[in-house]
Amino acid sequence: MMPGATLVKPETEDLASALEGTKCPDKKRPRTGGAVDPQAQRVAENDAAFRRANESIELAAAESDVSLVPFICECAETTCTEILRLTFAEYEAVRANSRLFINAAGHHVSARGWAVPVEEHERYVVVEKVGDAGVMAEQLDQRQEAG
Amino acid sequence: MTGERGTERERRISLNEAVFRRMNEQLKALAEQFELDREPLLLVCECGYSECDRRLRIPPADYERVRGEARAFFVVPGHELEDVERVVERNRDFNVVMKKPGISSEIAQATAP
Repeated sequence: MMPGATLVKPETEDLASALEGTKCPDKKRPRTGGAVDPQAQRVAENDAAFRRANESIELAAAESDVSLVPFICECAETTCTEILRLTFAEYEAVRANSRLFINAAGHHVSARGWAVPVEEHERYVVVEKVGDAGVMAEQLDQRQEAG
Repeated sequence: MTGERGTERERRISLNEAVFRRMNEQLKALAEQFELDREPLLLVCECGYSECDRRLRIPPADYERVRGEARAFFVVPGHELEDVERVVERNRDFNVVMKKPGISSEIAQATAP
C-alpha cells in the first residue's frame, strides 16, 4: 500500500447499496473454465481500454517535467473522462498488479460489483477487479503478456 | 526571454503540451472505440502549464482538422504563451495556437501523433 493511503473496509453501506440487485463478487469464485459472465467481460474490457490509454500518456509524460501526471479514470463507465493526477510512483504501484485500477472516488459502482475499492487516496481510489472481471483483467494485461 | 534559459523554458513547455496532446489523442481514441465520437469531445487544455486541469469541448471535425497540423494545439482562451506560440483561431470555447519557429515547433513536430 502507498504511504498516505487509507485501507478501505470491503463492506460499507455505500458498497452494499451499489451492489443491490447485482451479483455479489465475494460469493463468486474465479472460473478456470467455461463461459465468462458477459457483464464481467464488458467491465474488464472497458477497464483495459482505459489502462492502455494511460500507458500511452505515461510514456509521453516521462519526457516532460509534469510531476503529477494526468491519467484517465479507469472505471467501467465508457462515457467517463475524469482526469486523475498521480505521480509516476503512485501509478506504477497500482499498475504492478494486473487486477488493480485507478478510479475517481465513487466510480467503482460502474463495475456493478465486479470491482471493490481497496485503497483511498486524496486524489484517487484504487479498486480491485474481482471474480471473472479479475481473471479477465489479468488476461488482458499487456505488460503481463510481455513479461 | 533569450539564451539557454529561454530555450530550456520552451523545451519544458513543449514537452508538457505534448503530454496533454497525447491525453487528448487517447480520449478521442476511447470515444471512437465506445462510439461516442458523434458528440463534441470532452478534452483537456493543451497549454504549457503542467498543473492546468481545464476541460474543452471540441467538435470531432474541428479536432481532426487542427490535429492535422503538428504545430497546432487547443487551449482555453487566455492560456496562450505568446513568446512561443501565436493564436491562429479564436472560438467561443477554445483557441487554436500555432508554435512559432524554434525549439517548441521542433518538439511539437517530433511528438506529433
